Amino acid sequence: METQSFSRYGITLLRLRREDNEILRSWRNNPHNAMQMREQAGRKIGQEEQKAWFERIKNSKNAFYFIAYYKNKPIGCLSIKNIDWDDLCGDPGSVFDSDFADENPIIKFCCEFASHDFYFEELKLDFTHTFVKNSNKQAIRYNKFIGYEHLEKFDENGFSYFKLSSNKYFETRNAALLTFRKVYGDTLGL
Amino acid sequence: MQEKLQELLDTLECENQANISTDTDLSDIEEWDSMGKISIITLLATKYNYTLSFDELKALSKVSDILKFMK
Repeated sequence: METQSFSRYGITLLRLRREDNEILRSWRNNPHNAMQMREQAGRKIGQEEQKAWFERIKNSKNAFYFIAYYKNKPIGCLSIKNIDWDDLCGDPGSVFDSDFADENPIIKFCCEFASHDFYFEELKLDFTHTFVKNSNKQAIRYNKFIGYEHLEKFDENGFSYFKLSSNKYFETRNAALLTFRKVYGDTLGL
Repeated sequence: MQEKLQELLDTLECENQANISTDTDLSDIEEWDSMGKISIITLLATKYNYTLSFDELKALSKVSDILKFMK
């Protein structure tokens, strides 16, 4: 699939380009974000390391990385990797400009809904799944809000397994959007 | 007031409620993050029929600032 952009809820997702490396690295290296990473938690990523990572993923057939724009401003990166085209599942992730996301929580969730619409409607995945650090209460509440179900499965490094089926996602998204529209529909153009 | 405070803390799913009062800074509450803000926006909209504006959201500083809207 050659999708380069996808728009929903006032958010435009554009495929990650080489020139996005530095802004993505700055979000990734924000101490708050860095501590929550599953891999290399707390460690800062260098410029060359970021470039090398981009070269590895840029032509991947099993991953999509997008920069999310709101009113033409880049505010975060949404991704899905390790897509299994036989089982129709993948492992989503996101990292945001922390200051923007803190001040604009609804926009942050609109980004999550736009990206998950893409995973379920365009890629036609059956489910998404992810591991979250047991100590990361924020991410656990966040994932549950999107509809992820906590399955009692822990890995040896203290991560829990969460799964989201397409049906559960659409049910949760529709309920959340009803509220968002009621509250901020006119402002956000929802 | 105590009931409203309890409702607010339950909405935020606060784990450490003992030291939180109306005078507590929201920034000192771990659960006052993007998810917590969404929960409060939803509570005010659905139960108290109050739409918190973007400016009002940004201006929230203390627990009492939220309680003012819960009426």
